[in-house]
Amino acid sequence: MPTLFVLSHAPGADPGEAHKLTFARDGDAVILTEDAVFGAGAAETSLTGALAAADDRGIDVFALAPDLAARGIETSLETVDYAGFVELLTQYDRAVH
Amino acid sequence: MKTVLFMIRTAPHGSAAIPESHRACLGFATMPFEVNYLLTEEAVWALQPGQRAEAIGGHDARALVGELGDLDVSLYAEAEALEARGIDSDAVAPIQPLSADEIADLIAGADAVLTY
Repeated sequence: MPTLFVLSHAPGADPGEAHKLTFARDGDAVILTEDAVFGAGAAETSLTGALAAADDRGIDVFALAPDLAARGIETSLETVDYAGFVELLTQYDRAVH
Repeated sequence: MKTVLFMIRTAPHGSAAIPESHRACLGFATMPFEVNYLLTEEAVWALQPGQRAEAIGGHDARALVGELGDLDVSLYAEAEALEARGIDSDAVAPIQPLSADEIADLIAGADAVLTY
């Protein structure tokens, strides 16, 4: 019964956003959208450690490509477009925003 | 029966997260759903003793949450968040403190999660 965690707040403005990943487990996934994609780049943010830990725990990590492009953020994370985001939402049993 | 999880992570009094989620929860509780209400992160401040919300014309967050228990809504709070804020988890009954693992189970058992 995997869950998709959707992060949308800037990591500096809402450090608690990373805390949601405390409740994610192996087989779940997380996608960075809107201002959360500021945590997808090379800069160290409150999301950096949480995303690395999530990856180590078998949690897939995605970022939304249009939101990255709009903000000029390059990432090594797997990216999806809007259709890919919708596809992810259909693949998981529930989403936690 | 479908299970709905209300997951509140916003501090009380600075926003309408507690009263609005309370209102929505009342609606779900009148229908055939199993309803769980979980306070995480800053939202556990709703359980701080000695709140006098009338000083700012607000709602008594602790009373609003407790009221849901009378409607067969299961009430939970993140144990780690309570501890980090010095809120005595032994004194928050009828709200049940949960570990991160137990919260992951609660999420995995929900058909839908509504976050505030």
